[in-house]
Amino acid sequence: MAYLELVNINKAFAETHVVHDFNLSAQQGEFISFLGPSGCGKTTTLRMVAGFELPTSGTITLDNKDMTQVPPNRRNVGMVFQSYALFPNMSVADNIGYGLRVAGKPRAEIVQRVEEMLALIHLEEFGKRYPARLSGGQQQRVALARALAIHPHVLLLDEPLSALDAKIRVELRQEIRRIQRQLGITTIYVTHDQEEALSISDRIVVMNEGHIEQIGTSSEIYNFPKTEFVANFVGQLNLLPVEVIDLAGGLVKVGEQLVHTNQTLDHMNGHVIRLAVRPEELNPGHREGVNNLSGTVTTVTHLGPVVRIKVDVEGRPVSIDMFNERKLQVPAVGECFDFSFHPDACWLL
Amino acid sequence: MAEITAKTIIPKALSRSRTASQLKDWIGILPFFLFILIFLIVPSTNLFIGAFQDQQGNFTLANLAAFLSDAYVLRAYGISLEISVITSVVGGVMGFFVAYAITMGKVPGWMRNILMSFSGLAANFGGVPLAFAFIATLGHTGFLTAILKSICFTGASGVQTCPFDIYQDGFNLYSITGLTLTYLYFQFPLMVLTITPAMEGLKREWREASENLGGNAAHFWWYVALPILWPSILGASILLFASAFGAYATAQALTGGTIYLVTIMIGAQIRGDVLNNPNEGYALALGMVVIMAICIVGYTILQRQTVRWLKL
Amino acid sequence: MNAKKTNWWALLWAVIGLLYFFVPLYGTLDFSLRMQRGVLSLKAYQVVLADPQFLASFRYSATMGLITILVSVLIFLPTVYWMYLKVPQARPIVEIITILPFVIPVIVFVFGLIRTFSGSPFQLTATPFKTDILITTGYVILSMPYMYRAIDVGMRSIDVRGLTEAAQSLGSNWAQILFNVILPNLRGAVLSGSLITFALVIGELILGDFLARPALGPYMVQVGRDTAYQPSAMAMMSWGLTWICLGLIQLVARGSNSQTLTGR
Repeated sequence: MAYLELVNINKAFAETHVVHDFNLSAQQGEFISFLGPSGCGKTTTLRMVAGFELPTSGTITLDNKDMTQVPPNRRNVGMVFQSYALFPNMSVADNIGYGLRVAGKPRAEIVQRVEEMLALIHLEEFGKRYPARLSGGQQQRVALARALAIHPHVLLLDEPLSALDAKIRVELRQEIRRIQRQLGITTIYVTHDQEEALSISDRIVVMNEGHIEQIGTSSEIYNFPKTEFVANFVGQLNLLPVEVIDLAGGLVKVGEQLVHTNQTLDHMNGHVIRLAVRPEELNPGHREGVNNLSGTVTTVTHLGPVVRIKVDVEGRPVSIDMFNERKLQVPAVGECFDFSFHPDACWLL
Repeated sequence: MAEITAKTIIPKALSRSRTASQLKDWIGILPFFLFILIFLIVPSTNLFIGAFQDQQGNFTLANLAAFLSDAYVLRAYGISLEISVITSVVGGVMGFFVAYAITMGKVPGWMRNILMSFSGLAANFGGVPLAFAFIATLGHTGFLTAILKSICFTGASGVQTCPFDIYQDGFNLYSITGLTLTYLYFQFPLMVLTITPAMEGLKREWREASENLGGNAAHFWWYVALPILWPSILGASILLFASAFGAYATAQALTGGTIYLVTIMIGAQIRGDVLNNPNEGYALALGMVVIMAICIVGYTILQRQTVRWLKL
Repeated sequence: MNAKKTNWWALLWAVIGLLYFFVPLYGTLDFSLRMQRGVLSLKAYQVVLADPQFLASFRYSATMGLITILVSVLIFLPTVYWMYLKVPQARPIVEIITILPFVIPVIVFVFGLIRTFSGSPFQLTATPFKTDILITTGYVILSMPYMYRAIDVGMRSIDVRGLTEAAQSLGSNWAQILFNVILPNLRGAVLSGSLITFALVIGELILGDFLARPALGPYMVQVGRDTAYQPSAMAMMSWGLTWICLGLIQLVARGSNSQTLTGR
């Protein structure tokens, strides 16, 4: 039995059904991200785990105990809110110690735990400061410490980094992961930023319009997306309409050019078939033994570490990503451009 | 030579014209200042100066001494303070809980709308019409008085008792109690109006964070909500106090001047009776203004504190 | 927080609030309909409306209300405009001044007015006309906080500098700018300030009483002393008028107006 189980969770507000049949089994110590666009139901699901929303149907079980009807102040799950929600009238130390204070813990224990937490988030000298005088990143760390101070069974984070600058976001997500690993605490992390989810999660739950699209590790989600939504939402994707030549052999045609896929296509009769391949899997130049296509260069964009070449292949746009090198010779617009890719690198949708 | 003088002259001319234009700019507001000066500042100052003069026009502090010696003055201030404090505390508590019901109490939407719009109306419904309304409701032959009087039981002994005959029980609308009840009609809506913005500023996430950390409703109010709200509550109470302290029309219309508030006393003084020394009247007026000024300053300071915390 | 649980405490206080609002109102209404013994009738209202003195004092107060609005706008509109355009540093002083009517209770204010202006050299209480001037200035000052705030809020929402410069470049002088460009854009704000002022003047007692002018307030007090049912009818009418004024303000101006008006 998993540590945290969500079984057939459904949530409807009046007319709108916001979460459909959500099922998740999380092991102890796992870091799971809910990833998806705004309105996909990820925050609602998180709030149901916290107890701020009641599921319309389904159960939530923590450590083999049914938690579905337990009020939020008795679940012992720590939550970090998107707006941090630090109590403005209390110092950092008092904020962190709040959970222990309402639990009636002795003063000495509270003081010691607060010090531990401050050390954990590297803000040892900030105990007496007030939230108004902290930066966004500091407030977020205090919110994290406050949630962790009560020794929660599960840690819940609702887009905690969305209000911060890009650089701080990267630093802090590493911090969060480090702390989570150090404490071994089961964590659910809600975000719409795929890079965030991919970089720090053990598993990712990709959601769309209240449904789970796929649950898997970063690598699984990225390289073997189960649905078109996942393939499109996570990472860049080329989608080319193709014509089927040989169903069993997995042979298709892009315009006049032949492409081998290592997929059988029987189950795809009657559907619009498209070839999916990531831009970074496409290599410039012609190579024997693999798929080769060519087209005319339309744009060349320097994205920093990556150079993206957009090519028109018989009316269809294709992006090819290459690692940047100082000695790189980029093709000019209008030139003819060959590129190749292994049959295993592509799949059909 | 000519170059140097030009360079030195022009900046000076510019700075001179800058100050000149600065002074000229204020001309547009001059009519306003003059109007206020003539019709507000001068009359008021005149009054305050009169507080420090005796009947011949010489400087004296005797009028102020009346505050400590004249029984009438002390009694008037006592009554005014008593009513103001009671109505601001009772009205404050009532208004606080009604505001709570409106903002956080999850009462039905129609109740909330009526309460909000009536608070706006009732806070403005004072003076003579309010007095009439309460006379019609709780006077000797008032609507509510009659209803209460008609609630009768036949006791075991066969005797009919009507326990809610309030006038029989000693209630009198034309007393301090009655005046207090009447004042409350505009006091508690004023509290509702003043404190609702602050209560709406309490973020939902604070309540959720408190619950999430294991706190119940009592913890939330004691540790988070009340500490954040207390400047606003105190400020609003001060406003209520000032509102009751300076009220005249309601008391006059209700009691005909028989209840001796400071405002009533000043009114009587204007008409020329009561005090032997008219300059004492000026001292009374000065005393009122000092108290009101303290209230307004206190309120402003507390308002700023509220805004600071609720902006986070 | 479980959304399904009813908050009894909140419900209790909501009910208490509603009762406190409605019982006096209902009681007044009921009382006002009982002038004719045994039946519910509008007799009390008819008597009030038929009383020539009522009509005279209503007319007087309404007229004074309109004059007050006019004078108020004439003084405060250019002042606020000028403050925005040329002397924004004057704002703190002006704001303190507009708070003064709260600090100086009306009874004290009228005391000062009488003491200063009734004797020589002004003798503004000698004739009715001169007293009317005095009472108008009193009303203007009483309404100052509300009128100023209404105009200030309105002015904040328009581009004062831009409009002025555009008008100037097209050849307007100050008066033209103020009344052809600025004022039309502040219609809502000026209207809401005017409504509050009007309600204030109609309901005002102290200035009318002590300056011995035939205003509605003193008339009502006198009726209250002498009759039984008419006061409650007048209270209902007054309540209705306040309701109409505030309702119109809601329609005209955006945002809630939590100011208090009538003298008490």
